[in-house]
Amino acid sequence: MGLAYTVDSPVKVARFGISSVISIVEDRLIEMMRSHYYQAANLPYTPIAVHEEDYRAKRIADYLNLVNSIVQEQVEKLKTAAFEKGSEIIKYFEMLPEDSKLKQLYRQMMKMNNEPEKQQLQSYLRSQIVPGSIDVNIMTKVDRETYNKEGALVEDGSEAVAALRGFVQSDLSNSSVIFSAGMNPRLYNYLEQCNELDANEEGIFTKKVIVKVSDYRSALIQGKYLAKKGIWVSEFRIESGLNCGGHAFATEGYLLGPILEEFKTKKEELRNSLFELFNAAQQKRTTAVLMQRLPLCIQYRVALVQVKKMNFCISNTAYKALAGVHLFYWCPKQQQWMKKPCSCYVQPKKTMWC
Amino acid sequence: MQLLCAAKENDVVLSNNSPLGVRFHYLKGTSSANEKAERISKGNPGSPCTEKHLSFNTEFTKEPICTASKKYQKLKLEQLQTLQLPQQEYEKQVQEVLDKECLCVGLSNSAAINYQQTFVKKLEAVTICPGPNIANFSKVVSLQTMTDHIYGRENIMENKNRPHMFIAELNLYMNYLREQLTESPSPEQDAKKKKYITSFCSNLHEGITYYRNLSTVAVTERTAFDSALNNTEEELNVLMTAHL
Repeated sequence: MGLAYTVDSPVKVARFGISSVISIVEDRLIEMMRSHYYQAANLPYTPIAVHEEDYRAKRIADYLNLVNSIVQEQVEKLKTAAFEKGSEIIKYFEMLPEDSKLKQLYRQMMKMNNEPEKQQLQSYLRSQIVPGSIDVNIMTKVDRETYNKEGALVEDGSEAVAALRGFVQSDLSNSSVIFSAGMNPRLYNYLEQCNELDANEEGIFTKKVIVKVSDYRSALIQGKYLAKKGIWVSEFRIESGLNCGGHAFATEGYLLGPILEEFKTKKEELRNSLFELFNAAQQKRTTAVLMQRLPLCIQYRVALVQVKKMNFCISNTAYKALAGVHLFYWCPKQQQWMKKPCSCYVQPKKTMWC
Repeated sequence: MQLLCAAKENDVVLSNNSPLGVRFHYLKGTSSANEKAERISKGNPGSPCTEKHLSFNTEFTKEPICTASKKYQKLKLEQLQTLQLPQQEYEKQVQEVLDKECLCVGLSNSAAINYQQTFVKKLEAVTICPGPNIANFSKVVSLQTMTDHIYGRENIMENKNRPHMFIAELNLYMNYLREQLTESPSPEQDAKKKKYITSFCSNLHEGITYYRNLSTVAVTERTAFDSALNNTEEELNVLMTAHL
């Protein structure tokens, strides 16, 4: 996806339980969006100018906080809306897949006549509403060095590193940073000092790391590099080398089927070897907590494949270990474009087969 | 938006337009493509480069510059003129220079237009980079309709013959291979390239064999799936005999 097309997708979809990803590479765009949303919310907008120290990280962190607060407000509003035709709360439940428990309870509630019971079920349903996550993407190769006014290199000031700092400093929780375009040692080394990416005592990450890969080898190399730094990759997101939008990293003729097969057979091996390295690195750090085991998710993403087809494709054991998530392409209201277009990566609430 | 809706299989190309030097799926006919063509026709190719996020080239300058920038393209084109290359090679290299397109601004502008904001003054062109699957869809729909499609409550797909995703990918790889084979490498690259192509073809072969034995393809799709595999393998064999 490109910079602007999903820059504010969470504002459009998160309240409906749909996760989406913001590219945090272009800070001028982020600043423009800050200006737009502060004004739209009738809040004072204070520009963050390029001469301010660490302006890129500041712009990004503040924008993410702003988006987060807008989404939280929207969710509160949605939760208290009436269950009546056209309301957002109805929309939330109508959009759920038919086989979800919540959807079935919702259908049951709609048929109820006993008012007290109906109210009770309604308040249960309201309590179950969760927003989709607000995730961010950093294309690792966009990492130009930056210089201050005196012409000296800014320490930890390269673009990808500064963008990452913006993410970790933001108050997002239940959020992930997705690294695409492969390994960037400078960026990956910087992760080591980000305590915000550590898990809590229960092994829960408030900010997770996801790495996009095109094959198993790439997952193993990047995963190991990060594990040695004490960074746990919560998910490897597999993308076809050529069947994708934007930048395409063609493999050397390795096709998706055999790639998925390799992940399927070696998933445990991958998790175990990464976990060993991760724990060894953790032991050297005083602040970190040792884990028994951490979850590793492997997903393949497809554009707009219907669930029933996806189910078929991954059923019969072939790809049970793998997850499929479906991308929305064409909902203009949820994206950036009324007159001039593009497409978007939004994933519906239900992350399957994790 | 209309462009996207109208997009057919051949409208999304695996371009060389990204200044990163990585292949880039790209929708033809956008305002950004038009802007680029106009600059070229006026004899003033390249973008003003206001963002510099993709400035990585130090061929001519100490400070890295972007290969889509006016500055780089001017310098590179001047250099090409002095090299006395054979006409065909010269034209090819010129084209490679001119292909590069400003993505920082092109991929940001849709939000600026949508919210009546100015991203960079006097630069309003939009670049779009959908995946090739966009060709299977042509309707603008609401979020609710889209979830209905995804969960199978509705079908908004126009192309009834959309190939299986494995076949779709295989076709893309075959296109890529054909393109690689038409490009003639320089003698010193030749051995390396041959090795690459050999390994590429053998991996494709392995993939095809894997798919043939795959039991999870829907029965209704099986015939089309198998015949696509057979045709592709046949072509792959022909290509390999001709080139390796």
